[in-house]
Amino acid sequence: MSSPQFEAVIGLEVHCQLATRTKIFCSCPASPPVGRSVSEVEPNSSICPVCAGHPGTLPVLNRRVVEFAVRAGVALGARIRLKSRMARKNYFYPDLPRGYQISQHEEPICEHGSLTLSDGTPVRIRRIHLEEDAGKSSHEFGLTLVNLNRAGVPLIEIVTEPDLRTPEQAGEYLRELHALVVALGITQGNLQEGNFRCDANISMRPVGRAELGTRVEIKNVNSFRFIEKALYFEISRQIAVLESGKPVRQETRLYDSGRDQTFPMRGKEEAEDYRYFPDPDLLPVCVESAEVEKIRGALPELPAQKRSRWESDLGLSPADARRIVLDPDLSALFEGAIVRTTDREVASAISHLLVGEVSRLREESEGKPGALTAGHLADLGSRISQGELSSTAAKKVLGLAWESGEAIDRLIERAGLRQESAEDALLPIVDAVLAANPAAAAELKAGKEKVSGFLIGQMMKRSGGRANPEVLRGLLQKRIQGN
Amino acid sequence: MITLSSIHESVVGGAASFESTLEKQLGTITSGARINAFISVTADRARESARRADLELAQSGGRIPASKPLLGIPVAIKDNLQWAGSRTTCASKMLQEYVSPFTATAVMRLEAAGAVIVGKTNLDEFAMGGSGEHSAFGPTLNPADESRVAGGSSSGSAAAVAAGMVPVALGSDTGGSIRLPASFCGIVGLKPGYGRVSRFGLVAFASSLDQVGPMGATVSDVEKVYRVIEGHDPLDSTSIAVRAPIEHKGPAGLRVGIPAEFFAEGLDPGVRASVERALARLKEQGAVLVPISLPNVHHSVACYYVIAVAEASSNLSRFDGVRFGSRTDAARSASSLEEFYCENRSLFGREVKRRILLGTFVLSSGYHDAYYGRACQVRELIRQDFSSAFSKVDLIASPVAPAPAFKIGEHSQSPLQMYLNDLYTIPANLAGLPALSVPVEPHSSGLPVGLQLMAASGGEDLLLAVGRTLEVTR
Repeated sequence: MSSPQFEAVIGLEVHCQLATRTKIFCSCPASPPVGRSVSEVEPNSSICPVCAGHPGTLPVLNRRVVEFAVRAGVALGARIRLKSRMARKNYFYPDLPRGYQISQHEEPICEHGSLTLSDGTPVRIRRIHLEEDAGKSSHEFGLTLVNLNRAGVPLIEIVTEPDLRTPEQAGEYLRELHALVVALGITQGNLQEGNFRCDANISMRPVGRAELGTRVEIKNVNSFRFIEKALYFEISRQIAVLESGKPVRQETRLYDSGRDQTFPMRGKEEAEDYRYFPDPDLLPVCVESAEVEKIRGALPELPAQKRSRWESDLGLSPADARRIVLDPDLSALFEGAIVRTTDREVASAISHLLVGEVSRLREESEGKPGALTAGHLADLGSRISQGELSSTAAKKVLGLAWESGEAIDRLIERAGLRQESAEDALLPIVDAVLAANPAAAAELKAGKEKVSGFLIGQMMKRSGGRANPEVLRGLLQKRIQGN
Repeated sequence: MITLSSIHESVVGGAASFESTLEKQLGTITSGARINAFISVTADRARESARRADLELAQSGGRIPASKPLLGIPVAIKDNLQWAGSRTTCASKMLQEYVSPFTATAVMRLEAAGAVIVGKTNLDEFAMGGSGEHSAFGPTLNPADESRVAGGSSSGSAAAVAAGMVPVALGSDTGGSIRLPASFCGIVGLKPGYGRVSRFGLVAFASSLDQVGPMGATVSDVEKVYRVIEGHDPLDSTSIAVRAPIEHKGPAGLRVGIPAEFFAEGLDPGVRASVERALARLKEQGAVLVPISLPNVHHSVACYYVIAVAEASSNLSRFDGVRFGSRTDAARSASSLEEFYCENRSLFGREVKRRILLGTFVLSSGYHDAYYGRACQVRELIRQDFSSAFSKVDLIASPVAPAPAFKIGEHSQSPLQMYLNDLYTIPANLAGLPALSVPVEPHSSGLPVGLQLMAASGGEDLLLAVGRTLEVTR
């Protein structure tokens, strides 16, 4: 993709669904019951005259939504507007019950925030505003079916300035932002359920030029990887268009992950005129500055702070710390597992398990959570650091815990995996391996240190992975020198 | 006309029951059907509530319980207020089959106070109009002269009271829709200050101007209904908490502002004469008449017809035939979404379409600032005119309309002429102030004339107190 002449200019808009109990303007449930997915809820069962837009109904703002937006704003260092306004965005679509969406336009609740990427790039947040979600249309059997369960679900829209230059930066920004809003407790952050949806604006310009090129919007992508891929595709597509001497068309495109390409969204060619005006049914949204300070004071530890604490206090590698902090499941397990320890070795053993084996198991089970708990990890970590369990054995036990959820102790017994460090027990294995590999033994004696790795490997194999390799090494040394 | 207090007197005195009173009123409604005051008469539901009211009266020892000040009183509801289980048509083909899934707060409070709802009254479609002629169910006739309009948009509520069908009714007022028909029909109408009565369940025309209010044969009946429906409603963020009523003695010592702009060119001499005689009476009772000026009110009509239509264009977007309301055959067989909308929204009447188009235009990008933005600034100036006026006077008095009720069809060719009828009523809506229309001495032609009293925010009690004395001395 890299063309020496062009650089990409990318801005992102994230729609983040807030984890409030009720919708933004009525008392219908905002999300499915715990443990159920959106698709499992009967269509049009979580609606009332208000969110279905019946005549005569009026919106009443859910204060929790305001609190959550302020929390996001404060965490992103944004300026909080103490008096903001809800506005109507007018357009017709069957899944928009009132014929207008209640959002914020000229006076959003938060402005001028920022989030810094690992390469030091500050990404400026232009605004964060409150709005309601629309319903969902599906087109089946030649019909358009409208489900309004989602209509009125509270969202915040977080809009960046066009400060990003590469798909990787875009991906990193999204992962960081996602971890942040999840840590703030303002969203479930479930990507599959559409809790965190992204629109990307991308244009190309010759390197060194300040003015922006024609912008293409890629709408509604709900996976970080897909956003990166969609941006890669757009960059090469736009460069190809520009290099052929044609102008890029300003349009909205959708990303097809199956074919890994973007295509123009139909029916979006006309410029929309949303005819915004302040919603007369709602009073200005007022926040006391004391309330803002209270929210600021009660912020939980943010991912960036957490990461640097893990690096400095627990000795995690920056890569592992980042990987874990950006992954809500892994960081929940990690934090649970290190509650009772400050031991760097234990922490580092746990972090290795998370980044390695746990991630692998999760991928194998297609994201389904295993029975593994933070307690399991704490137990495994301390056993590894105390030499009770080899890392090979630990992986095996972890796999069993993932499956069954049983206590580590019991699993080790059952699998016969307790690490053997007793010299008495290991000596026969050392002797047997030396006897079986006389040539290698001779080489080692002659000073070829390299073969010791092979011999220890054989011994580990013979012990079924249970032997403590350090003890084996000592015994082998003794035998070679002693004879 | 029949009054609320006369019904309570005769029922408590044993001369009638609520049930027999209701039957009599239903009879009046039936015999006055040509007036076209009602879109739906809910006789069966009404009979059931009247029987319940008789039972409650018996249970409370033959006295009207304090918690039920409207016990057994037949009440009519403008057909743009939701009442669960009944049709709410807004006098539009768009909603001709729409049955309310919930009840408006004001209606719910009436029911809780014991009122017997007898039906839903005619109006200009979606409350857009000043004559009562723009209804999909035909015009309402003025009981005082059936060749004339009843005034709008709360035409049916005003006519039902004037024809003695009900003592009180609910209306709604966005630019004069309670006061204008009240004055044309010779009854009392109160537009409460903005936020005094919950709008929840009132089908919105222009949300920042709409207000539900009572209409009745007498000021004290109107006051009784007002006390029941006023007050904060958690379902309407723009509603405000009720305060304890303030006692006012009447006009003695009050300063009544007479704005020059409301007595200028275009005012019918007969209306002027009636209003001036009423003002003279206020003076006799000790009020001080103070000439004042509201320099920006002559922009009111223009300002109103930008803001109201802008809000209306958005409020009426929900009528698309997707979730509720009627669907035309052509819409059913539409081949595209756009065609579906076009076909279905053709169910709106001409006046409604005109206002939606205007409203869409004034909010469009490129015109938004010049029209909508400008109108909002002018509205602020008008508000300031009133607040500086009310630093000098307690009340402002004016005619309700420049002329008495006109002939049906007289203005149908000129929407602008029709809009000018609202000249004196619109300012109170723009400024969110309470205003009362009380009948004064009739016009030389014999037609009713209304006097408008406006007060500062929170001045409903004062309006009612002064209105009552005008009524007594009528």
